[in-house]
Amino acid sequence: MKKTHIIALVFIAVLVGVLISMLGDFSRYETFDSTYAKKGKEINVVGVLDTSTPMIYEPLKDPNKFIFYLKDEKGGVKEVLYKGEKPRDFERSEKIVITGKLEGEQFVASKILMKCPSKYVEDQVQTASL
Amino acid sequence: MNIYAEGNNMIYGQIGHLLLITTFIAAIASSISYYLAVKKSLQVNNASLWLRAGRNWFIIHAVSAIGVAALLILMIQQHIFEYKYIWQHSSRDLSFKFLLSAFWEGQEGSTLLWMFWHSVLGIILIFKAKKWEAPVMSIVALAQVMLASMELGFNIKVPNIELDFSPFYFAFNWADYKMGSNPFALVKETMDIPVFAMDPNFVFEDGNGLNPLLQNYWMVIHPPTLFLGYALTTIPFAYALSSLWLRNYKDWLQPALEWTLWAVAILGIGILMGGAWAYEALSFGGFWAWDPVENASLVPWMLLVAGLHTLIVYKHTGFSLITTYLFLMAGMWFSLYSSFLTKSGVLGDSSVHSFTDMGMSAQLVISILVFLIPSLWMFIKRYKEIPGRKDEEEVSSREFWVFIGSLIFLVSALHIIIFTSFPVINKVIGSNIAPPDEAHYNSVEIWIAIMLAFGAAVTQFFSFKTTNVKKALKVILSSFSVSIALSIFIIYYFKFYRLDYLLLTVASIYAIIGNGYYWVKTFKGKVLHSGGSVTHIGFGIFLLGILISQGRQHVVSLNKFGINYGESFSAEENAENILLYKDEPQMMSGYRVTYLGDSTALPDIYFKVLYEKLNKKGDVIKSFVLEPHVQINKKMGNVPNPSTYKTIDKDLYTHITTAPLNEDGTPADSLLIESKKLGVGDTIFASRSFAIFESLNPKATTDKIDQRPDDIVVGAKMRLFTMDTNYVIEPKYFIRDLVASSISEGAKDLDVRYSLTKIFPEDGKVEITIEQKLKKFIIMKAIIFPFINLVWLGSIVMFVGVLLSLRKRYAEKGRLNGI
Repeated sequence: MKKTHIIALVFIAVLVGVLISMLGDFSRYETFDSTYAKKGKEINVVGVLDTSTPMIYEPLKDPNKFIFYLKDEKGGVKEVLYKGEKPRDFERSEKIVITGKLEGEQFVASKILMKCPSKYVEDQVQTASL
Repeated sequence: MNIYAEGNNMIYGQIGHLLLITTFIAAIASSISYYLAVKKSLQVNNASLWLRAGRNWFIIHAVSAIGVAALLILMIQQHIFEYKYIWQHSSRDLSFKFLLSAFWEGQEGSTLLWMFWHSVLGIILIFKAKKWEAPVMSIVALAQVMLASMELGFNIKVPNIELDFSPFYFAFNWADYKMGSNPFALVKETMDIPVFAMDPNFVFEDGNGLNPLLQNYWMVIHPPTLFLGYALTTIPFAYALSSLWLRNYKDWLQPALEWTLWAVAILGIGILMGGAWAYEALSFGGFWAWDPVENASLVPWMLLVAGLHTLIVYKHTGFSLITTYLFLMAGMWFSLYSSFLTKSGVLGDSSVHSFTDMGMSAQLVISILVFLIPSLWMFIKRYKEIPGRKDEEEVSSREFWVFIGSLIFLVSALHIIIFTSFPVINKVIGSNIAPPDEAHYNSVEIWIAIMLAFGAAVTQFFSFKTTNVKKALKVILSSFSVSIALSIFIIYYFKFYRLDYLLLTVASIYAIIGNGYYWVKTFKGKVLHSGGSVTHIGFGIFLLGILISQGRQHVVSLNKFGINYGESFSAEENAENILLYKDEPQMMSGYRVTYLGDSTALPDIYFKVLYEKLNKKGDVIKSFVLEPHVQINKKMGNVPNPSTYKTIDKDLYTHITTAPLNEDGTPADSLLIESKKLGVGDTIFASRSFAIFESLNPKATTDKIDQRPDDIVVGAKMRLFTMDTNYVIEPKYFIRDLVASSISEGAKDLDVRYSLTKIFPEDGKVEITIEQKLKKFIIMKAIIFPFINLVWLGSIVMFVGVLLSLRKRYAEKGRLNGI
């Protein structure tokens, strides 16, 4: 075997090793009441905005505090605190992915990703009401 | 509503679809003809008939494909809203350059763009490729078949097999499958809107419009450049596969090298333009977010860069041919994979800017397999005969270190693509791993960058084949010590006291110094030979720019004040948004910042923000006005656009996160209404005053109304404190004939009114409501990116460097042809 081959193998072995060792640290898509969430690990929760409880964003008091309620895919609802501005068009989102940790009864989100309905659907609704 | 005669404007779609079918059929015919031309030339020497057929078919194909693109642009420009694509992506108010952006906003348009570039490149190859024309073009034409099939929009029958093992179940039937999505589909064919039942000739007055985020000049040039880059990855692939196919392992190197250089230059600059757009138009505050869509474009580029290096090694030494084949072919595989990631909808939960699923996943997967399987099979079949060297690279040789460098690129590419593919892996094996965040990529890729930069600095000093180690070590060490000395200043200045930051500083400075030194020493600064050195210097500048601008970016709009609201004031460190009232200056990070007012040029609202830099005595030493704006868009939501103050050494970036707007989009005054239950001695805060509830007065009198003896008037005596005075006010609660109302009292000069809105007799408490008219305000975020210009400078230097390498290759070829 040539030493370049050996080096190539070593590189790949290191890559695989690093990958495997990192697998445990990855955050996962979970629901609020999963064991991962309860351990206080960082998780991603996919859900929809729960509109039965109003969102709280009072920029004049604190522009960096936004509270809303998210219903996860299993129907569990939690209060979510995001220390930042309310994302634009939050109400319009059809799906929300939040990343963060459960702290007590509150989920503290570090990242919010929204999926908005495509313009196509939006307009269909609009024209349908003509 | 427009009433038009049936058939009006239908001609566009008919021509368009006819052209699309032509592109598809001509691409198939061209690919087969070229294929036969290759087959025949392997047996007899006269293949010119098939060659000419392939050529003619390709020209028919290319003309139709360019025609399709031109027609679609014409339709967008003419606002023919009968067509879904036109209606969906454009509107009447778009200026011409953004009509181009509308063209490639959708999936059909971006595929068309790719097809357009393949057509152009194909025509160049017909003229330039000479003996490689037939095999290379049969592959390019095949790529066109795959792309054209995605534009057809035909309903076809596909076999559908249902198979299950427990309990055993097998069924076979034919299912409908819509092949591709036709950009010339009509609105009424594709959308189920009730209006068509009433009026079959209904046409939208105006289009849906272009996403305001894409209304940016970078979005005019970034997609065509990027797709030219993607299209260019096909060519080195085609040459590599052709050379395996024809068992010609030598003659393909020169053209493959040129095309790889072009692909690296164009794809690279295309990716960076995307970063420039993200930096200017998006408000996430940066130019790279490790978004899956970005990652997917970076990976083919990395593989081609690795392939470029091993190709040069092979040319000089005869080593590394096998790896070269793999890298160049993988560049194309991953271009296709990246279009799969972007267009299949698989990234739904993990990326903000992927397309939604259009039901084309199967087609996208097939297009990957069509290229992956034959090329891999051919590679394996020829593996044994690919020329190589039996001996080993010297550890002190350049080829050895270039090989290591290309492995580092490979590891980086694999790391990025595996981690980006979690949504795909989840789909396949049913796991639920979330894609990692930016911090993960940064923490791994910084080490890759360190190794690559050191490699780029050191490797040039080794010669191909054998190196005079003593001499090499001398220059390596001398240039290294200069770099260390320079780095110390930078490390100290920016306080990079972290191992990875520290090493990256040294490595990138070393890449600049080392390559500069080598170019001056070895090539005497001759421009002809400067390609590699200039590119590597650019790489060093680029990395240094990333490190400083990202590692030392800081938010200046830290919310260190609080309106005096007491309990609701959060002192979070990451409170990055600042509230500014009109004409009320705030200090932030050495700047006095004042929101001066707004101006409206619909659809844009501009907010004037004055920045004044103060010295220690409080004098203004520099001032400038930034005008971040918000684009009003009722359909897609308002979009803020940052405004950036650029100086040589830093960018001060400002964008609006919230501003109260009226219905029509103009900035609004705001009224804040708030109620609080107070006992005696409790305080209620307004923005510039507060009041303490002192006592309840059951026998209050008022002259605001014509008071009758049987009226009940209760007053809440409150002491109001303003900045410089205090006095008593008495809002009142008033009951006449069982109807209650409030008589509010205002504070002098301050736009605030206090009302007594409820009385709780059981505990003697009251509910006080304050109504304050607030000045106009904005909430904004401001970030400083130090030395971000190094990022752009480094990018340009790299681009120029690659072009210089190309110039050298063309000069070489000229010399060869001259002989």
